[in-house]
This record gives sequence, structure tokens and C-alpha cells, in this order.
Amino acid sequence: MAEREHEHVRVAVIGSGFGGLGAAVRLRRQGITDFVVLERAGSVGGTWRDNSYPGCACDVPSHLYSFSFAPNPEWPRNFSGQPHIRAYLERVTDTFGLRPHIRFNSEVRSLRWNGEELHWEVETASGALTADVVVSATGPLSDPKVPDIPGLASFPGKVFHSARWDHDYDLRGKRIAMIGTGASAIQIVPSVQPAVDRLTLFQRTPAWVLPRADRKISGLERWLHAKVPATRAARRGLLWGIRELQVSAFTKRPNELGLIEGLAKGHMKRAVKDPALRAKLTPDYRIGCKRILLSNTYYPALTQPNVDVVASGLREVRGNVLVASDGTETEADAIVFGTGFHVTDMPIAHRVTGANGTTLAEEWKDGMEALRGTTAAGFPNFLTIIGPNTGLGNSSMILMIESQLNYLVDFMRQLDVLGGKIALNARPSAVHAWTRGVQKRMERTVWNTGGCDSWYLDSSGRNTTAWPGTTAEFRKVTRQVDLAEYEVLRVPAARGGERSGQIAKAVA
Amino acid sequence: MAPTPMTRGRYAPPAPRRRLTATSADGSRLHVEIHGTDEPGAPAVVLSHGWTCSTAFWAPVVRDLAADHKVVLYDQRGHGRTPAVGPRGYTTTALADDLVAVLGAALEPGERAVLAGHSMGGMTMMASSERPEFRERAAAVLLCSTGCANLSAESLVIPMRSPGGRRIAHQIVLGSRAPLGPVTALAKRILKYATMGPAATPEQVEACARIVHACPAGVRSRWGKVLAGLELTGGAARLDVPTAIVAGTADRLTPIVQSRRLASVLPDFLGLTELPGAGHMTPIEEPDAVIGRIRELVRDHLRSGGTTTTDLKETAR
Repeated sequence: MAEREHEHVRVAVIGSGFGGLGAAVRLRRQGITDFVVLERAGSVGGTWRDNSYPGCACDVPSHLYSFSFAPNPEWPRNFSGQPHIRAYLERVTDTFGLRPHIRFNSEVRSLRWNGEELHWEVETASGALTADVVVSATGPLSDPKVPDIPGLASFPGKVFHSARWDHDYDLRGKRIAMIGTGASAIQIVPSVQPAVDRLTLFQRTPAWVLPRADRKISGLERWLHAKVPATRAARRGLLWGIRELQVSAFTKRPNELGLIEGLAKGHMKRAVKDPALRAKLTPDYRIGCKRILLSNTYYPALTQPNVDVVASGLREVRGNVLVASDGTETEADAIVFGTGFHVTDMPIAHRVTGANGTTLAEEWKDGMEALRGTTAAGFPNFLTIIGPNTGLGNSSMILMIESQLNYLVDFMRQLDVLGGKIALNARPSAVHAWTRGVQKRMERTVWNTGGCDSWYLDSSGRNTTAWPGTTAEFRKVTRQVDLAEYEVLRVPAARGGERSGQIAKAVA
Repeated sequence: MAPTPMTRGRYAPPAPRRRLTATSADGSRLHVEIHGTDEPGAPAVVLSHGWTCSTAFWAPVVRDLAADHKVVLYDQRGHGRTPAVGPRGYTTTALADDLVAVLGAALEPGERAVLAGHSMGGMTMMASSERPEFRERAAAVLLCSTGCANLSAESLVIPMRSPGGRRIAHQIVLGSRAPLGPVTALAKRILKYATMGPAATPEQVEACARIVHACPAGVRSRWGKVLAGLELTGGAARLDVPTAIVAGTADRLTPIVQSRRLASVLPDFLGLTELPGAGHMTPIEEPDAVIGRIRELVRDHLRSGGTTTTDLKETAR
């Protein structure tokens, strides 16, 4: 008889970003209070806590990039900055009474499925517990990816990743090397350029950049949004609707995006007068293939005399000299990596051991796959928020998160309805059928046909991150858990029901 | 005047060997029929009919099984010869109470049986799964064309794309008190569309229509509302008896997805027989398939001597 030494909870949620906090709110609303939120850091916010680099903001309008159940009439700008988004998540935590559930400094070290007891054994930095259900909301943009550059260890200056910004380091008057031209880098460049002595941008692939229609949201608008909630809903609805209409161009007719390329080229031409620099900054792939970036200040910053653009990746570091793939040598005092995150190789997957004794990372070695973006075969009662093929190219991830939370809530309801000690394990056939359908639709999307390599694609070139449809479609397919897609697992000894009551009692 | 069942052919209900009355937990009296052989030791089969049907629904199955089985039939409350009850008497708990009462009245002490339920009769089995009286008696169960939850959103009788719209439309249809009127050609066409497959013969449609039109509109509405709000997934998950399923692939009322879901949930599942092109009324549309499956269950789980089967299985586990 197994002694219950550990604390046991109904649900363990991993992470306290948008996904984890959203899950906590929905669980409470469902009447489930026996749950914990395990957070590796000392405060909530996830990606919006970790990314505090200068100029950090969301490139989805704030009124859409927020929970439907926690509207915020006070958003200060169309595209609010990181401090405001982080404060919003802190406020959600307080408003919905989530603090008692959160365990800070409790990084999850391992998760192991116990097939006898039908629960997860969770080892955290602050102790062990068991949980019937695990909701993994670790987020795709949480673990920084730093390329393995020869000689980097011997670099005498400062090195950090955009998501681990060292605010104690004073950049003023320094020679800074910025590696990467993704969404973070294009926000960092214009923010630090005026202060630094020299800024060298290492660009492996240029990005398409569109103007950002950012402005302050006026006091009148904010007052109206607070007094007349319908105006806020209308604003959100409009922002959502526009983006829904754009989806088919990304997923079905990438050539339509050619029109947008014209806009992006015009945007560049207005700011960059030097044809040689323009040539360097013009991408050779279809817009949308990599994430479309929004900025009004990126191109102007690149034309400043203290900025160099090296149209090549960083090959190696020799002392304080950075050598690009094209041979260019640059001296620098600090290197900032804007090189993104472990997206297609979800880091938590290495720590999760399922019913077959294999880790999720091993199961996913040929690419991530999960039923309705949420459950993987062989990992019973384990749901991933922002799982495989749930990412978006043009709209708010909060919409996708909330769809997955609907699925989570129905999952919990089905467990209750079925009753007793049971678990739901996605059938491999259902997972494969789902993945086949998604990959079939993926074939003609801009991410797969646009002629670029991006963080949507895994090492074998398969797109395991993007959702090839509208957010409304995803909402529809995650409304309910279909038990036909799941195997119902029961405690082995209790299978005989009353007839083997003796045995059942002995292990209970 | 309510229509009467068929009087000739395979679908005409045979005369029972015995009639008796079972008294349910709330005092309701249920009409029970015993057919077939009175030879001692003959295997017993208990049949539970579905929404708007009656004992007559099982006619082709009884005609076959009666040769070498003891066959027990009963009318669910409000149907056939069992009187209707007050408005609060229509619940899945009442379905279980009634079945348990019938088992107690019609079977000998300690006698076990193969139980088959069609549609709401199948739901009766799920609702009864945790009753000790049911567990003592049930050697095996056959579920025909049934489901455990979410019928109003998943039924395909009203062809609407939106699940929300379908849910509301089906709730209205299921709960409707509109009289069905006499059995006319139009009424039969509607009934065939909603409940039977394209291959159903005119005789089969006629037999179903006569049975369904005999159900009082009030009773139909009361039970329809129970079906619209059904949640018996838990009951199915605890139906700890060897259970087989038979369902038609063209079933609009309880679509085949419902059977596939049951297949996932049932703890001791023997298999799903999908009948291509058949609709919801499988015991009338495909009586031979249903009879064949019942005979198999009797052979494998009842005839080989009741408790020994269980013992063997337990060792195997």
C-alpha cells in the first residue's frame, strides 16, 4: 500500500503567463479550487515578465491581446508596452483571487505518469506533489535560444539574450552587437541606438516590416470604454474580424500577400534613402512566411551614422572581435542575442515521462503532434496550452489560449461525469488523423511555400507550430472533448469492479 | 383512436405465455410479458424498448428467441400498457427503478439474463449500471442504437450546420407535444426520414409507425425532454458487464458517433457491430443482426453456466 506522503491536487498548472493564469481563472469558474499553479520565477507574467528589454511591446493591439473575461478599458496605447501587459496580468491574478494557488520558485523538474494510481508525480524546486491532471502552460516563447557560436565563451565583454536583459549593464557609449532581426531585435534597435556608441546589427535574413498604427488611446475613448462596455466589445470585435479576414491569404492564397509586400517596400523606401542599404534590407521570400514585423522606428534607426548592418550571421568570436559569415570583423563591448526561443522543441517535453516510460521529447523527436493542439497519445490527463499547431501569424494568441481553455474545462467535466479514479488518454489513431488533417492544410500556406526558414518550422522543415485556419475554426473544434478520441484508463486492480473489491481496497 | 400494432407477419407481436405486473420504487405498476419456453434452465433474455415504442417493437426478435429462450418484455412507463405517471416521474432514475423491478418480478431468484436495450432502453441499462439488483442479474448487455449524452447537439434529424442551432431545434422537436395524428403516407415518410435507413421496407416502416403513433403525445414530450438533457456517460463508464453494441451507420437520432463514444467509455466492451445503411430502428430494420448478437451473448456469457464465466474471466485478468 502506497503511503501518500505528498500533497495531492486535482490539477497542477505549469506556468503563470497568459496560459497558466487563464487556466486558473477558468478552473475556479468551473468550481475547481483544488489546484496549484507552479511558477519557476518569483512573480507572474511569463513571457511578459521575462522580456523587459528596452522598447518591448506587443505587436497585436491590446484590446484584442487580452482575456475576453477580463477586459481592460484602461489600455494606454493601441499597442501597449510590456510594463502595461505585465501589470494587467498582475491585476488579473488579484481580481480573480489566484494568488493562493500560485507556488513561486517552483520550477517543475520532472513529471512522471503513475499508471497504477492514475496520477502525475510532479517534482518541483520547492517539493513534490501528485496531480490527477496536468496543464502545461509553459509557453512557446519562454526558453531563450542562443546559437552555439565558436569562441563565444572567451568573449571578454557582456553577453545576454533579449529575454534576459541585464538592466544593470549600462549601454551608454558602448559598442553593441545585436544578433538577429526578429520581433525583439527590431524593437531593441531603435530603443538603444541613440544611447550607444556603435550598434552593429547582424542580419542573417531580413524581415518584412510594416508601419505600426500605434497611438495613445485618448482619455475620452478610455472613459467611453469604461462606461459603455459595448464600445470596448465593438473595438475588440473589429480588431478580431479584420484579422480573421486576413487568414485565408496566409493559409490558402499566399500570392494575395504580394500586395502587402508593396506596402512594406514603400515603408522602407520612405525611411531608407541609401539603395545599398535598401538592397540589404529587402527580403527575398514571400511576406508572411516569417512573422511580419510592425515598426515605424526600425528603418529610421538603421540609417543613423552609428549603426552598421552586416547582412550575414555571426560565425565566430575571437576575443572581442565578432566575425560574420561573410568575413566582416567587428569589435564590440557587448553582444545581445535576439535569436528567439525554443519553439519547435518544447523544453518541458524533456521532463515529462508518459505511460510508456518515454519522454514527450522522445515521442516528438520526429515533430510535435497533439490532438486538437492539446493532448498527446501516451500522456494521459496532460494538456498543453499553446500546444503543437496552435500558433498564429497575424492575430492574438489569447484567442487560441481561450479556445484551449474551453477544451480543458470540458475535459474536466468529462472526467467528473465519468466519475471515479480514471484518466483520458488520446488514442494514437485520433492524434494521427488530426495531425494528417492539419498537415494537409499546411501544404499551401505561406509558411510552407513562402521560400523561407522560420521558427514555425522544425529541424526537418515540418510546420508543427502554426494553426492553418481561422481562430473561429479552432474555437469550434475545441468546444468539446469527444470521448471517442480517447481511451478511458482505469485503476488496474479496480477493473473487476466489486468482484475484486478486496484488491481495490488494498491499493487505495 | 390510437393505431394498433401489426396483426400479420414477422412484425406482429406474438401472444405472451404469461402477463404480470411489476411494482416500481415509486409504486408505479409496469406491464410485463413473458414469452418463449417454460423449460427449466432455458436462458433468459430481457428486452427494454426505446422512446415512443412498446413491447410490440421487439416482435421479430421475440418470434425468433422464443423457440429456446425465456424472453421478458415490459412497457416503459407511459408506453404501451404501462400507465403514464405524474410529471416528476420521468427521469433516468425512474428508468433504472423500473428495470430493476421487472428483473425482480420476472426472473427466478438468482436467475441471470442477457439484457438488451434499444435507444432509451439502452440508456436504461446505463442508468441501472450501479444498482446491485442489476449487477446480480446481468450476464451481458446488448446496446442497440443508443447514446449517453449530447443527443440534441449531435442528432442529424434537423439538417443545420451550426451545432448550437441543432441543439435548440432538436430540443424543440424532442419536447414537442404536437400529436402525430393517424398513420398516413406523409407521416410514414417523415418517420422513415427521421428514424430509419433508406433500405427500410414499407412493412418495416408501417410496423414502426403503428407503434410510434400509439405513444401519447404527453408521454413522448416528457421522455423527449429527458433525452434532450441526457448525461449518462458516467453510467456507461460503470456498466461493468460484458457489453456489445449494434448501431446503424445511417442513424440520424443517435448517430454512430454516439456508439463509438460508448465504445471508448464502456469498461467491458465486446465490440461494435456497425450495420451499413441502417437507421435508428435496428431491431426492426435488421432483426437478424440483433438476434444473432443476443444469441452470441447468451452462448458466451449465460449458457456456459453463469458464475463460471466470471470466474474464468477473472483468472484471465
